[in-house]
Amino acid sequence: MNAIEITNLTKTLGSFQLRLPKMTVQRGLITGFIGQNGSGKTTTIKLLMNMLFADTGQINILGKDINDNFLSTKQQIGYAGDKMGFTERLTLKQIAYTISPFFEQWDDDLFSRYIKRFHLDLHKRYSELSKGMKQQFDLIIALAHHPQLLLLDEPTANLDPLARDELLEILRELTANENVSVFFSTHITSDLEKIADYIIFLHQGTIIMEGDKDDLLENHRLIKGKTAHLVPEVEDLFLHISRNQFGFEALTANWRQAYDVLGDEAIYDKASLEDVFIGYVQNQR
Amino acid sequence: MSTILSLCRLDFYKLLLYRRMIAAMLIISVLSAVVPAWIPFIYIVSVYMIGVTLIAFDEQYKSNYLYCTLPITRQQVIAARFFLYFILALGLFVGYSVLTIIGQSKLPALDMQFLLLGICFAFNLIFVGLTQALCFRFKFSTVRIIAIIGYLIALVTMSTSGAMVQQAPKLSGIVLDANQSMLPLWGIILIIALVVFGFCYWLSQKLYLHKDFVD
Repeated sequence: MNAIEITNLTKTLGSFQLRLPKMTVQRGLITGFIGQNGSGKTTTIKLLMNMLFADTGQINILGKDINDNFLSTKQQIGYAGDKMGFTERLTLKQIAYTISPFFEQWDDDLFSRYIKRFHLDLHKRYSELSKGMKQQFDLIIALAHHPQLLLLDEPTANLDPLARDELLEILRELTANENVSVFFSTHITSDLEKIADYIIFLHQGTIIMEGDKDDLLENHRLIKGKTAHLVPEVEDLFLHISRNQFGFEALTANWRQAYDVLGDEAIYDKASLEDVFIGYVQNQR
Repeated sequence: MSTILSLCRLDFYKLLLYRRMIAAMLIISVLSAVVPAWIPFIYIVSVYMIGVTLIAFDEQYKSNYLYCTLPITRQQVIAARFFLYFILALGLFVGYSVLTIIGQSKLPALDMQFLLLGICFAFNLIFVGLTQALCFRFKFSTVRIIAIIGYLIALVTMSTSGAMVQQAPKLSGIVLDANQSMLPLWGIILIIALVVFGFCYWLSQKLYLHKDFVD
């Protein structure tokens, strides 16, 4: 059973259209959802949370149609996003106190443990927290009711490196020990390089590439060589080529095939997720 | 029902942020026993303040996003809000009725004062229900203008009616015999108010259930 299954989903917002013919998020894995600003990441997550309604298509969460099993499904989802809707002048304690009754599995001990772990002060007002601290608190609220699925919309955007590491560690623990599924949207690809199992690239409202993270990083390479080697059959192997005065730099999805053609005449550097993402986006243009 | 009560508690905590406003309202309410003719006016203002404050909070803090993250339905969100409005209007009606009875010696016609309070109760139900429903369709800033206009109409009505209460003994058609009862009139007002309130509830459900939260 998949954590999320999306079929033929479309949503039009003004001039923007999201089109997801098929998208799955596997259970127990951390799935990274990468895209530029305005690519449709937040729209997708809002559709999963019923903040927006799809024009067409079906969404299954944890094996159930979200519209048929709305309340039981929502009990299993932890969400942290840009807008949480908390009454910001309330203290963290008051916010937790007013929200906890809605969740059957709310765990006060777990909540307190996370508060200590992130060094937050329960008596502070939400409005007094820094952006990073707010994001930490949002995550604690998302985690404190033992969700089976975490939907995180840019959860690390405002965190300092230490807090970011702490969060990634928590996500690692959750997937390893409690089989929690994580759907993590971001444009900070370095975070996903550390923890993601599966990657989905979104561009202009549609998925342009997806796959196992390790396979992606293994198969994609940045190839540097002389311009003279750029014959049409070689160019066909590349997703994106940039030329400069010293030669070319190109991204390939199958570096072994490229090696068969170019051999030791070129340099084969490992590509980061960011390189891969940029390569695919530029290939679309 | 527990979800509805939890949602009401959430709203109650929002209102607690305006402790000074609530404290001022309480003091003015208690003092109104001294000048009971002002009670309908204070009743209208109280419900207006609380209702609009809650809607303003929703707008300011984007509460709809929070509701979407909780395991509750949109029907429950609307039901809780209207339940709170009803309890609020009814609770304040009871409170101000008690104050009216305390200060009755200063009133020329107690029956008319209660009729006025009944009209205020009806107006309050219609007013908060309609304001809430309109907020699901229009921007809060627009609705606030409509609300202020409605509020001013209510004030003019209350002032006129208040004057009538003062003059009641002199107006032969209005002064009631001991055997006559205001109950039928009361019933009509209450039914009209509940029908309009129910319509606003239905309209809110209709507008809110399929609303996209884009911003």
